[in-house]
Amino acid sequence: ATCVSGGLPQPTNITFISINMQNILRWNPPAELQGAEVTYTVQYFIYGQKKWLSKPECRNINRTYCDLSVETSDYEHQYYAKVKAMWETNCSRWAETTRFYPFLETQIGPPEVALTTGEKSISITLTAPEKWKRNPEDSTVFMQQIYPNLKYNVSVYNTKSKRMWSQSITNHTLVLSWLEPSTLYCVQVEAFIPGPPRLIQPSHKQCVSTLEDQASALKVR
Amino acid sequence: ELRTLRLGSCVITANLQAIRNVFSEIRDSVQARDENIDMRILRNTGSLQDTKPSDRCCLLRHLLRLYLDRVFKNYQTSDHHTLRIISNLANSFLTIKKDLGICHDHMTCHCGKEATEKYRQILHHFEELEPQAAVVKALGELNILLRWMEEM
Repeated sequence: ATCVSGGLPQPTNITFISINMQNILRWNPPAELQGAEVTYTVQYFIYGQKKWLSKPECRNINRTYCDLSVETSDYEHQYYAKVKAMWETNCSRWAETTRFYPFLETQIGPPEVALTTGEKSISITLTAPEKWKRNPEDSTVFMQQIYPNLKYNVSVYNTKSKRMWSQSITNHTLVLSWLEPSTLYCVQVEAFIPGPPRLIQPSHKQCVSTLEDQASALKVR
Repeated sequence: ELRTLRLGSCVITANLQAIRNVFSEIRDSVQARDENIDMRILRNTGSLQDTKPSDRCCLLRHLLRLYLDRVFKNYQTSDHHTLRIISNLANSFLTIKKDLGICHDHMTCHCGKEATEKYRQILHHFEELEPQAAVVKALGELNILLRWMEEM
């Protein structure tokens, strides 16, 4: 539909929110039009190719996000996206992202964390975060397969002594030894890739108590 | 974190991550100046990792010389921070180029047909653009070059 271009202010803060290669374009409504019946149209561009492309599911929408994961699934390419706002017969000029490079910019989601306790130890088992997949039945790709130098930062907090420490590991298991028995410990893990800073997604904090010290338990009897 | 680059029988190490960290400080501002987004100088067809190992050293040497002699030297900006970053990048590239020079001295940096042809194509893409536009685009594509180097 034709509209008077520039009759509306542009959408703002247009950016790709990318986690494990799920790439969602987000933006804010034009400043003065909060609440008005504004609709949006999105286009994207593959750097080095010839023309802007449309995504039919993101034409004339009233939500302020558009999932472009499929369109930007080749993480070795670089992309742009742009959005324009429309309201009645007016529309804004396009608002454009910076060049988006999924391989460099995707955030690495947290690993799954399983804890098992001993008297003076806690065993931590991690499952690497999975890359976004188009269909649930697609085969799973772990982010570690894309980033061989992916590491984990494990933070441990002793709730009794209020002491906290962390260590960086590359494999998927870690045994914390020489802990205090009958003590509540909280563990949080984040995956990261050495290199330019990326936003980090820590796992949920999980707290477990080490078992009672068997030796002192026997003495008591 | 040093990275080993296997370029046929020429093997060198380079801190690509440090170079990437430095470049990330100016990446968005440099790329924002690139108005020819429908053009790409470093294309997948000419990539280092898809070049046969024995030709990689020569192709990389050509690329480093292109960046040193025609990109870093000619990037026009009044922003001192950007100029400091570019100087930092140039020094890192000089270090790598010096290591490749050692390979060349030891006859392990042979320029075969593949390297020569791929570099000719890259130079052609570079020279298709107006000079400063080419410099801006090439600098904005440093990520691609670093990615190629990481993949070797």
